[in-house]
Amino acid sequence: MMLRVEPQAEGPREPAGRSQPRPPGQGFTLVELMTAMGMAMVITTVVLSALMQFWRASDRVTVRLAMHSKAALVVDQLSFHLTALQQHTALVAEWVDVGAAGSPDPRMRLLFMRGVFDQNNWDYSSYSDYPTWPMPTSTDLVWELWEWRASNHCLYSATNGQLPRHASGTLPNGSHLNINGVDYGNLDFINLPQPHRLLPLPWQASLNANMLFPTVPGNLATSPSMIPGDVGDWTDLSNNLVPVLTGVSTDAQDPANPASWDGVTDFGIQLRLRNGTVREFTTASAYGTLVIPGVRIDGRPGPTDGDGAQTLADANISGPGLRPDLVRLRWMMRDRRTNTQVPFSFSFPLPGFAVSP
Amino acid sequence: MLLIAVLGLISVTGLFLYAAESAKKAQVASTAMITAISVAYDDSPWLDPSVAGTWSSTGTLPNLSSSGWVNGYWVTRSETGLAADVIATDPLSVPAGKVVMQSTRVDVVVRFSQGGNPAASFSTRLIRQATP
Repeated sequence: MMLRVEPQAEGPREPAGRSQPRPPGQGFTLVELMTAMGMAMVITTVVLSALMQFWRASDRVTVRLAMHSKAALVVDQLSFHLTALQQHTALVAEWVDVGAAGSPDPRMRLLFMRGVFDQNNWDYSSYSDYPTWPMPTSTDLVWELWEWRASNHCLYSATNGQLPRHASGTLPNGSHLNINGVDYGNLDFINLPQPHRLLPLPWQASLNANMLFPTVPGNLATSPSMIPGDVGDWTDLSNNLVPVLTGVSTDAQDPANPASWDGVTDFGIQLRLRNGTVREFTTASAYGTLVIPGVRIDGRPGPTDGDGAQTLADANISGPGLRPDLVRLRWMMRDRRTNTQVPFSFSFPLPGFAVSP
Repeated sequence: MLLIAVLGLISVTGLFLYAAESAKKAQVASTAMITAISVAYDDSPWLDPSVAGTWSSTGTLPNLSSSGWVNGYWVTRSETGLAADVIATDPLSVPAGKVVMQSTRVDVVVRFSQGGNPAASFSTRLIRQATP
């Protein structure tokens, strides 16, 4: 294509494509200016509107993605831990108000014990009746607490603290740790949280009675460091709570009003028991506590050990010891800044067979 | 100017669509599979009331088909088995033999939309404790 350059006349340069040259000294007409300004305003409005929509949509996508990522983290942790749930220990689900009069502080709790057993975990000695005592060589039992607080829309989690390790050499020379006739001498062991097959109400007080060797005249007196103390009890768990599921964005929250914070705005726990019945706690439920005793798994159906009359048969779906085969959790994550709400529902199978509801 | 604006809008739209697609993939990577696993072990998930009505089932165990919206995904679940496929009886149940174990197969497919492409799928076998 060939371009031809015409000599420039006096006056302003004419716009390209204009068929008739504008006379010298004459500017744009009012109609032209208004048309141009109108077009510019329309284009600007359209572009700004599109950008606003883009940023809002981008925000929503980002928030939604963060919510899914957070949910995945919780499910990953809970799946791993519930898979290792100990069937021989109590399981607690609770919806309770722990606040003082006039200032409610409702909390949803799930408490259980997890761990891995080996052949040394249970005392199969000839002693008469110790079906729920772990061997001192057990090293891997952990009480775990999950707690949702309505006050700040946050989900917390805790495990018991670090377990102190004791070697047999810490015992006075020549002495053995003898508990109700069971000789635990010459063993290296780690102090454990007590399994607690039963947790009579108030269960927090029962869990706080966490002496692995509760009735030891003499031996522990000479070696008090062997008392587990607060490790693995309720006080320990309460002190170890840390937030694991919070709001996505924090800039729009009122520090003076935590109840208005975004995050997990609703939380519910549902347990499907082995007979197919369902127990659930939601924010719409009345406050209540469900303590499910552990089932005896050592094969000895001794009913006279003072902690009830449960036998191995209680683990069956026809027995009174109805352990859950499924834990269901659901929660709503909310972000008001982007007007995003995502409901989540997850089910966690517990050890054992699934039931046919 | 109009041309530039149009080109800009197209670019922005394209970028947004690309970002949305990337976000969708990231979301799938985070929760699609765990949703599939969760539903595999639970034939009647405990859903939020706002979506609970979408979950429906046909048939009865051990042959049960279900579908609905779970965690923002369209989930279809299929469980198949033979009623006569009793692999064990529980001698400790009262009366003995009342409880049987049955093996079933579960297939779960998770999609972003009803009829859309699968985002994740999971298959497993369940041992069910049932009362014959």
